[in-house]
Amino acid sequence: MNKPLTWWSVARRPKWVGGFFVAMVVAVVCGLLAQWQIGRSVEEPLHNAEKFAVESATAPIIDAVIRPGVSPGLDAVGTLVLAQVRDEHKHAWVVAKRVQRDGTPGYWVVAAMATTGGKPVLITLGFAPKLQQAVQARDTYLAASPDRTFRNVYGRLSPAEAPQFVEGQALASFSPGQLANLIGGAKVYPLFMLDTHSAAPGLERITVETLTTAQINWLSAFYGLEWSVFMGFSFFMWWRLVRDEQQRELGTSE
Amino acid sequence: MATPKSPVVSALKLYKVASFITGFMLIAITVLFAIRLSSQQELWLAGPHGFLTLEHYSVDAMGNKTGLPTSGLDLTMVSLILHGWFYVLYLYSDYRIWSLLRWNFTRFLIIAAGGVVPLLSFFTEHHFAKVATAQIAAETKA
Repeated sequence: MNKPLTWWSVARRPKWVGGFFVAMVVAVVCGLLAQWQIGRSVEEPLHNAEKFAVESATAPIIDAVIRPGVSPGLDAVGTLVLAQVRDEHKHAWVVAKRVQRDGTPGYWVVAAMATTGGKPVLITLGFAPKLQQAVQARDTYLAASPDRTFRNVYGRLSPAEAPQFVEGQALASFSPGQLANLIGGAKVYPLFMLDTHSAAPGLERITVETLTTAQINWLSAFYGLEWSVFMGFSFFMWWRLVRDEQQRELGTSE
Repeated sequence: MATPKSPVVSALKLYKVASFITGFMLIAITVLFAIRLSSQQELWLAGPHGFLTLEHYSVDAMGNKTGLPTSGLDLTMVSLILHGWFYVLYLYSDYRIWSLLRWNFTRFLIIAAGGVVPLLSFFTEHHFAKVATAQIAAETKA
């Protein structure tokens, strides 16, 4: 034996240079996954006034995002949309178990309005802390005669909740499917529009931002950390495989 | 002669234990994840509705879960996190026996896959623990 076989001389062989690239690809994939999970691990608070101003300028028409009677696409929820609607003052309900951003419990009043295409879309009218106030606002809304003109409403498309019992004057959950049955006839839009920028007479503006401060998503934080561990492990395995080959050859040449 | 405390024997023991924990946790998270995806519910410990309950949630406009209880523990999330870290331990134990018994790399990858494919770890553990035991016995005799 002329020269001791070094780790470095084994690592420079084409096979292990290739191995290094494989380790690098694995590490890059793990790194991207780590970055993705870490990015998800802090949940930012929902929209603020500034964001609304920017978003409403480019908000798509509701029909570009969802269609009546058709299941919504995966990215539909959360989209701020513009709808041209007419108040028919025909269908409105009180939904119980609502909470404002500051924690005030209360009720929403929601109404079915007609879009230019004639299909009903469910839009929130506002919030009331007391049931009596909400019922009164609903009755006032229903007593008005149908509008002739259309108006622009901005709202964030929000997902349906599971239907629950009707408790006295109020619904226990907000389920467009359930309300479609109560309206009867036409197909309704599968998501409702959450209007946080206006309120019908007698009601307060809804402030439903569920997150007021950033929250940590622990599952993503830990997954992010794990992917980083796997990323390092990929290079470690490469180093180790090279060393194994080196030792094997040193062992046989003795 | 390999005493019960020799590194390879303890590595095998660690692999067996890690393999069973990972295997059972993987079954648990498969079930819990199916519940989460199919009906938007999380398994909840010591929440407002009982000691062990399923709690509904909805997803808000930003894609965050809302409507879950504020007290108690989200067992679905906890098991996902725990499985993740037990998998790291499992991978370490895989590395230990693979390295000590000088197996080939494919075997390492097959065992590693056992921790992410439901039920596979039971088969890999059954097979490779036997292979390892036989190899240890043969080497100590030699």
